[in-house]
Amino acid sequence: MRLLPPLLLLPSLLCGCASDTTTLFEVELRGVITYGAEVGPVEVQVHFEEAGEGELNHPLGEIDRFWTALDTPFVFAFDYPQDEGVGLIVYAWYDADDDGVLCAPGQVDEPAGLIVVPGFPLHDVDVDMDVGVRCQGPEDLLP
Amino acid sequence: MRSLTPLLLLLALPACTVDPGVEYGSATLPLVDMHLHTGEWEDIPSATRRFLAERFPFPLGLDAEATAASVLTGEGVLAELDKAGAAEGVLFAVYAPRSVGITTNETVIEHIDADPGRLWGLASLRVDRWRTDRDAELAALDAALDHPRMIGVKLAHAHQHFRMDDVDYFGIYDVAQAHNAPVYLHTGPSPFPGTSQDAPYTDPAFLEAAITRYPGVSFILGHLGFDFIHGDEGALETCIRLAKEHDNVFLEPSAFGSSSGDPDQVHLPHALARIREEGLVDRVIYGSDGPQSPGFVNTYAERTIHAMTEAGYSADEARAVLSGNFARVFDVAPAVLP
Repeated sequence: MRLLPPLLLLPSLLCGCASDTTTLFEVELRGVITYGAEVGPVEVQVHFEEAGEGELNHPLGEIDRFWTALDTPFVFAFDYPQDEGVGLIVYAWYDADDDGVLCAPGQVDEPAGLIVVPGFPLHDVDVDMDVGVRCQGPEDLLP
Repeated sequence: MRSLTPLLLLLALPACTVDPGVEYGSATLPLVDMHLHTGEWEDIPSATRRFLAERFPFPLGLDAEATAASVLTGEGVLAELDKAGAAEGVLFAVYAPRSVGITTNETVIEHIDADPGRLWGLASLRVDRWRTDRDAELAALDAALDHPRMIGVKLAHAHQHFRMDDVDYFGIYDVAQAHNAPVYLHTGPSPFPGTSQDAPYTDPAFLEAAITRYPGVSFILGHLGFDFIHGDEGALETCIRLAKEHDNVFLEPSAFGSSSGDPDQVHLPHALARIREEGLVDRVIYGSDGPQSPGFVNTYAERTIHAMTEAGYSADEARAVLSGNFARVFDVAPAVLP
């Protein structure tokens, strides 16, 4: 764990806010994304399970994202801002037509999947996921 | 910090108002600003509050909460409209807890009451727990649209995190259609923290399924698809294509022509020129996306008048953009000069 540099606190001091220190929790995500026997690019996103307080509480909240390949083991390290949300969700979609867009109009119906990581917070997270639901963003795949 | 506020405002704010109407060549035209925000500073996520505070002109950002409060009430919005010479304005409800925060339908209605002869409202709804809350949210939207001054629906897929082509949310358009309520939609990547920048949430091409399925609903494409991240015209040509191919598509050129977004006054004149070239002037509805900071509503109107002049708009065309198209699309009485 480490603290953000003091410079990042300056804007909040200028606007008269309370302390806005963020504690970062280091996470290493490992796993494999599969879609049958296919190979190709897959985007993985990591989200909070929930974030925000009071009326501003909401599911999800993207922390980071990266590209990897189907059926290929990956390792991805990221900093989890502990004061901004709880839980961890991993969402992935297979870019079958390699256009960088999930289900562009008139194009291929591409598969996606989502997992809620049990037992979080954990420094080491293992995720193996089969994608299969067509054209769904993370908001549509919440349990 | 709060004790600084009166002095800061005195330093920074012109207190004057202008006569109703805006000058366009030799004509004086009524002005309606269809894109205004209200609400409470604390109902904005902290990351977005920091983002906004950094963008207030110095020294207003030193006490951003007080600056915001001075312009976000119904009275504050009316004062900004007065500075711009605007006859009427439209306040947006917003339900975007991950990005720009929440302004409830009830808050909008409360602020409309500051002057129900000049202020209208667009209603909205939460979509972040759609699987469980869908029916209740649609019922609340339906109830809000029963208010006689709530004349449309505001959606921002990028800020609210739902795909523009996701049929699970098309019930929103059923409610809009039942009330003959136009739907305003944010289009294009947005600079606010917590926004979904991916194409299905920002690219108006993804709206075409809904536009086609609901020909009786007016779709107003906010910001003309401008890319606020890269500072370029983004999906302008997609918006123009959609308007040419669908009679129920309208165009709203707010925010991207501001002094910070378009310092050389290139983007807004270009967009309005392209629209005129395509014969779509009768589809443009003026909005500023104010108040933002004191004086912004007035400045944006001035920059739009400059852009229309550059693009060769006649006085009649400017009148349509500044108020006439709004009255026709929202089926309200045209704004008139006193």
